[in-house]
Amino acid sequence: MKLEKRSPFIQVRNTTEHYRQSQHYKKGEVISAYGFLTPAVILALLFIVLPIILAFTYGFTDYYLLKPNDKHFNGLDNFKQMLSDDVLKQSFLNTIKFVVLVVPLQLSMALGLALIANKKIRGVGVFRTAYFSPAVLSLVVISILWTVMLNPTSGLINEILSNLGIGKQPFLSSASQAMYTIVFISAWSGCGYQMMIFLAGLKNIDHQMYEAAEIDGANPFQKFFYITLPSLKPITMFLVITTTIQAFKLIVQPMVMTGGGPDYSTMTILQYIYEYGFRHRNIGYACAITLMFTLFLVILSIGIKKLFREENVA
Amino acid sequence: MRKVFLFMTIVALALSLIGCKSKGASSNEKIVIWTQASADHPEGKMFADRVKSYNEKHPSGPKVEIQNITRAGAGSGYIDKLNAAITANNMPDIFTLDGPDIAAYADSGLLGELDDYMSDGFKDGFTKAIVEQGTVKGKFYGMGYSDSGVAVMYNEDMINALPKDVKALIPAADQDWTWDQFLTLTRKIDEFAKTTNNPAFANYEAAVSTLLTDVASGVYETGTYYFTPLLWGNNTNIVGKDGVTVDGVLNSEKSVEALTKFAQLFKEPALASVSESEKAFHSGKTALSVSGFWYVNELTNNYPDLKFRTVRYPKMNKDFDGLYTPSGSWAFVRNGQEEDEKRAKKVVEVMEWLNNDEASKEYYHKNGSIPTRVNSISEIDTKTDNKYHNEAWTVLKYQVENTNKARPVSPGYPYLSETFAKDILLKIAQNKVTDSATIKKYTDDAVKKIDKEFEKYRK
Repeated sequence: MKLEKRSPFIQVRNTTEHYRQSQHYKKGEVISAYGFLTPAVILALLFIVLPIILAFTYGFTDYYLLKPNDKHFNGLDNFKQMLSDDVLKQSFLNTIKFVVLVVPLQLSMALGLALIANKKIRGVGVFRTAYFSPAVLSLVVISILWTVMLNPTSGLINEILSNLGIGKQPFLSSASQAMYTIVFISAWSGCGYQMMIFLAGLKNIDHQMYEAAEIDGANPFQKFFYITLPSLKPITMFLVITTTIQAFKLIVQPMVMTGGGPDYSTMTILQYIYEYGFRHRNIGYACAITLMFTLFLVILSIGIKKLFREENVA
Repeated sequence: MRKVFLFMTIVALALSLIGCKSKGASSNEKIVIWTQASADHPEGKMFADRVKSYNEKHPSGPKVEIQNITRAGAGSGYIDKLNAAITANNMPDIFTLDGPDIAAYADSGLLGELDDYMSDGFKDGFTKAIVEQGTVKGKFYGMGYSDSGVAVMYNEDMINALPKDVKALIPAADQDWTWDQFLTLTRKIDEFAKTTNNPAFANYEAAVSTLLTDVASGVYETGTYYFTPLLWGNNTNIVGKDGVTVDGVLNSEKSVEALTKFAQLFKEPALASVSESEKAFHSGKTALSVSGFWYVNELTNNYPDLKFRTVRYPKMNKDFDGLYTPSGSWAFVRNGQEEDEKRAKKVVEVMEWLNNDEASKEYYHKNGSIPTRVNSISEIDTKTDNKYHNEAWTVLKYQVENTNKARPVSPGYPYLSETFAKDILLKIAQNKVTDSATIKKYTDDAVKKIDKEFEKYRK
């Protein structure tokens, strides 16, 4: 019982260590292993490590995209500029707002759908497929479809609202509604994938626990809060981490649907970095923002990981 | 089995290393052209035909090769690849650039000037606006292969349903009119639309289509292209003549006055919407449209039932007698890092082939591109069977010959254009701001941002 509570990663690590200690590799095997590793290592160096090093370096320069051979070290100028950049501040707050809203919403929707999909009722396969389908669609396609449906004058959603006696809403063209609209669309498009993961978790819960609870007179809510939710804790933690990190990478939806507007209300950090780097060609400043944002994400990841470990210990 | 794995590893490694070593976009044996037009688009096809004919007529010279790198909405994709090529010192011999981008690339030393290499009198063959668009600090860098234009179109069925006194507000196709007259007409149309049961107004959404939806979704240049001319028509601009001074220009009294008049479109009940339906004018949802020249082919080919009439782009101030209508488009430029004079001469010879009178005529017939050569403008056919087509092209032709003005030449144009469209035009439209005090604040805020960004160009 104790073993089941431990992280699967710990088990893998222990198995690897045990294997390493018990095996003695032949020279040929070692060469083969390095041979297999080399392409991946080269690719990782080229496309992950090198860009990180370059971004770090460029963050301290005045690198202008059209003058790649004319870069000058400018100390902390880019970082000082960040302090007085109001749009950057707003983009950061928008990103935080998105993460804070979308993670609980998306996971709640995913769990709700998984609970329904877990029922042995007719047509549940269709339901499961229908809710999973947005996960296989391109985010660009989803964003365009929703933009058309949310058109304030002729969109499907507003037609429905009008027929229900509710006034037409501006949605994406309103600074006060645009971000909430993007949160909802993002949660809708992402929850199908997480529904499948929750569903796998639900299938693994020992049914005898529910039977025992029923014998003890537990009602459905008690079964949900005392059996289902605790049993899904490792999966939930995993989904919280992955969804949070994914949410910080928000760029496609605002880029396609609002261009970061109205009035910068949906501008996110990644979009701002892209705009500064490629549209305004100010790579130095974009790299400086990237550095600071990466640092923020590293600290956040460490925090979440620590929390995750504490949860496991508990 | 192990040998197989080892072999595969070595192959993978070799491929990785080959991938790292890129071949230059240009080589001595051929002249490479990059264009943003996709190969299956009429524009891409017309370039391919032109290059083919060059190769056929010059069998002994370097072979010219065209590569199509399709762009997304605002030029990204193509521009990203171009910027990557700049970073890698791997630029093609000739490439296309949007007119307003020429200054930034020239300022960075990436473009080669053309004056010293062109045939005598070749530059004079271009229209004034195209020469202005391609000239940076007195040197000519970009040969525009196509001009553009914006006019006002109206739905004839809807206008015919209006009371006579309102209908009389529509100018003739050969008459100038002012933004105030345009606003009065628009307001009257909206008032009528909300009280009539006339079937022509059955789908009515707003009085005028402005394509600000494109601006809202990130294609900022559309806003600048469409509405900077309102400032020009009031004898002001979004940037000074030096291309880097905005304070006292963008936030000047005249600019604020022009923008305040633009803002009246959004005074409740609004006459235009920042979230208008897709193809609103095409499908009878607006009576008027501020329309780009591409509308003519689009409407005649795909909306044959729409009776569209065309009148000139309105002037902000009736007493203004300078150039004030939108113009400009993509142009061919050459790699400025070419040091071989002989090769540079050959490259410019190819550019001339792509932009001469004959090419300009071909482009008009194959893609409806407005000719950029003075001698080819007459090629615009205004005597077809389609009277709507004829009227639209008559208006556009007049503007090309008489009133078209190039967008500002500024090394920081992308930022300037984006800030103008996003922080002024879009804010006015989305917040429905119509008072000059708030608009003045918008312009002052934008000036502060642009000024800060432009510091690097003043060094």
